[in-house]
Amino acid sequence: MNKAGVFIKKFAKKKDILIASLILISAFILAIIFWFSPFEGQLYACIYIDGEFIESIPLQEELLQEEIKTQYGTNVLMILDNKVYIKESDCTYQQCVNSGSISRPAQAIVCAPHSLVITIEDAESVGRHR
Amino acid sequence: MSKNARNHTGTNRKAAILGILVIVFFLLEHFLLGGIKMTEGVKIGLYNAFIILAIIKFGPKYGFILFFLKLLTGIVATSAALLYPLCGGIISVAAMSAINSIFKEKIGYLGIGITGAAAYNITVYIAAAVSLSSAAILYNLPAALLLSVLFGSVTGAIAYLTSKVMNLSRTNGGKNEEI
Ligand SMILES: [Zn+2]
Repeated sequence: MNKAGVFIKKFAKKKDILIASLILISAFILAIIFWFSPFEGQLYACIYIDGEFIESIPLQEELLQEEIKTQYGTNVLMILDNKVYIKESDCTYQQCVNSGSISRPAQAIVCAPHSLVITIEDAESVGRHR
Repeated sequence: MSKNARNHTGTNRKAAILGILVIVFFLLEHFLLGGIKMTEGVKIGLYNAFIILAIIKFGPKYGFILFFLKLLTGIVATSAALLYPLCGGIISVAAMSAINSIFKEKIGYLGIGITGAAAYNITVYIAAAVSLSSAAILYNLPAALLLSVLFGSVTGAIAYLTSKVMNLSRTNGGKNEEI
């Protein structure tokens, strides 16, 4: 057997291809559910601290400098063109600031050090918090 | 010295080399590639190549030992968050060990690498969703799974090449059985 043949035989066997395919298929199905499902109507930015719902803000609203204070620190929220951003934060890793904007239902920005989660939800989902 | 004792020493020496490789590659990736921002913090995890080797060649015990070595290095050198990597790593090593002992020689380095990467990322995402009680955190899981297949293939390939370089055979140290 040539070298490439040995490599394939020991590196990627049938079961390996099966596992890779299973994971790719689940990624594909999850992507369709999370990323491409249609939505309509008013969307809201929902703020959660320590897993508890705090408030919802319609995405149409324009907010340039909305401070969210928690016992862990402060994040500055911005809503512009129906997109939600964390503009500034005094947290350790700045992952919330670096994660960019969110605008589709079920998307989220997380600031783990501040136990803060911002999600996008539709009117029906926001209604359930009341 | 009996033959068994000698084999045991050989295993420990080679496992120690794998341990050093885990630390070196973890630090290299952290300091050289740390600036690259991936989807929601998904990393390549090059060090996992040597954990894969340890599991295949020496058994799950060595896989867990090498993982805790990596965790300790992370705490000392990078002061990174602990909870998610701890959950992810334990489930990942357990999943790789399980799949290796279930399928034995029917599975290669590719499948074990991908299984480890996927198990790690799924666990970290679920742990984050539970601890922040927000299912919305799972939004980027499809991208994380895609990257798991890519990065798992890379670590699997490194594991395979290292096994050639170190002249390691499958099954327990000493017994010179080919895979
Ligand atoms: Zn943050």
